[in-house]
Amino acid sequence: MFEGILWDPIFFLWLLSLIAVLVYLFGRLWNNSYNKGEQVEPFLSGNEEQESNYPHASDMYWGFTEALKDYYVSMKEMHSNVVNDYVYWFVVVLALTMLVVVVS
Amino acid sequence: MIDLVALLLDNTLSLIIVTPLMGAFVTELVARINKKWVFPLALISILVSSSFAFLLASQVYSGGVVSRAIESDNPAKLTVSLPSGSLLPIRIILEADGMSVLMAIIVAIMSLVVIIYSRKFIRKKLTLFYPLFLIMVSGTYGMMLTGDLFNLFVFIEIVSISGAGLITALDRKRAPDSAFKFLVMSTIGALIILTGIGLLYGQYDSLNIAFLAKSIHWTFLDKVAFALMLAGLAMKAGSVPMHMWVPDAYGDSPAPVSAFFVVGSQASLYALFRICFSLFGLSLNYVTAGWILIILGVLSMFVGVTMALPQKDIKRLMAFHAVSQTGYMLLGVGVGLTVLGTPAFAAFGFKAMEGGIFHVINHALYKGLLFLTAGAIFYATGTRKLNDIRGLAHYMPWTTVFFMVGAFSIAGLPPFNGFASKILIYESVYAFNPVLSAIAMLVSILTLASFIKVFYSAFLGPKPSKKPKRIPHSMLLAMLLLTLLILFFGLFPELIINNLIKPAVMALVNVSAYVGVFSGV
Repeated sequence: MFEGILWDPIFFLWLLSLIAVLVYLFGRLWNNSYNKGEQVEPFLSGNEEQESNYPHASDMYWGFTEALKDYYVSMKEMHSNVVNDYVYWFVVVLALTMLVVVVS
Repeated sequence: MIDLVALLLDNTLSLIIVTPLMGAFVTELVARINKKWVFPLALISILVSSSFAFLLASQVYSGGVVSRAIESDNPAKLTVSLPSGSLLPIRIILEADGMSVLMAIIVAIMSLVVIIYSRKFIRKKLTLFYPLFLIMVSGTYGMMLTGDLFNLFVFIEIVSISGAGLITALDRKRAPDSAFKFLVMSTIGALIILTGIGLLYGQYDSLNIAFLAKSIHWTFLDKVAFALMLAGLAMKAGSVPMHMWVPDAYGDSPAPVSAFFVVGSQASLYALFRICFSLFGLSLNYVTAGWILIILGVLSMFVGVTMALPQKDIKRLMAFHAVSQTGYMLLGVGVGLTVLGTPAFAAFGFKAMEGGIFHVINHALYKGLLFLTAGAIFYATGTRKLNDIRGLAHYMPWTTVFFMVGAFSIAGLPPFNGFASKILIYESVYAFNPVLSAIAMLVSILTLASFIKVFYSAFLGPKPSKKPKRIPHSMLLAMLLLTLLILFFGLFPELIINNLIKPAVMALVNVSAYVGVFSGV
């Protein structure tokens, strides 16, 4: 599976190194007038970036979880944090496995 | 001197298990005199047992299987008369082939890394943590090296009880609740497994796996025993929908314990594969058993990753990913089992099993690394809540790099080790069923999305106003070791597959050879 050059990780590494060197050399051609300062600062809606402005982890993928709301509601019910429910699911799987194995 | 070396070489199998076990008791005793000796003694125990594990590996890879029966000098005196009239010798049988030795290597690496990491991370309850950790290491080795079903049950119990103690080692608020749930589930699982073992013992008067393998006639009771053991071990491995204890146990335990819990769950996965191949391999309906593993695998992959995505606690998020990654292993090995004995096995089944087994060792490395980076974040900031941390890359550049390596690897990006095993699984499973392969790829995309969230919220962003604590060198060293191994496994996958993975898969699928070699012990 790894015989071909397409999946050869060493080849990947050489290729990435080559691209990195080319990008560096290419960048050097026009960066004489480059002014380090506010150009490297992140731009957030025109406001200065502050700790309190930074999006929280829980803000991320809101659209994804909202689109799959029904799925996540049922999943949260399943993950009830009650040990009785943990045992319940184990018994369900055990019963189904036994049924399938014995019948087959 | 030569006699001593010969004695050590003869007893490698037992010494691997005994060294950390003895180390646990000695550490506890010595701690009564001076607590400063606790860590050095624990480290020595792990170094010695890991050395024995690598020695055993060299013995197996150079000379084939290794087995050892620990019994009385006069076995005839120590026997039990069975109702059938035969005499059963009382003894402990240990054995090692390509598969068990691969698992022992994983334990050796991870126990070494975890103990180095723990030096500064564990600063209180030393006399609780180190002895329990050593007992857990001993039990995990035992699960992988035993050739006897009852001893397997005993070692499962040792791992469970020591694991429950380790969950509560540092935290007295949420952790006891998680430890209780873990203990309840582990005990129920172990009792179900014991019931299955009892059904086999009642019929065939033996607990030796190889002897049972050639005796089993696939009767109704055998089928019930198989189902009991399969469900019990799948639950212990953290398979969906029996995984709910995993986020609790992994999430609330100290980070080095979470990293080693991954190995503990993999020991159960190993036992599950042993039951499917080595114990029932000569009589089992491969298609039924294989599809059970595949369904459990796909459910674990999908539910694990989708539940990880909205998590706000970094360790719970990683714990759900551990469930998801277990699914890949079940899928790969399940596909191999389904087509075992057919021409399709040579076409893609063997590759699928290689992918599944390779993913076991890769997962131990990158998931271990990710849990250790989560521990470093907790050490530096005092919180695991992703909403409360940001901009850590400004102060923790090394941890950031280690996290990126772990995250890229778990997401299956080249040239990291996760890619090497996942590409084997994708390609071989595609030949079996393209839909399953597509699900596996989708899960990898969601995994990447989930770790981008962690990276963005914890490491990127403005400099935090509160400077995090400096990470000690021992913790960085432990993470560096795993990072180097991940890179090595990712850059030279063929070397690993040819020397470690192929012998492991051969040991599993060549059931007749296993029975022939070990039933005579």
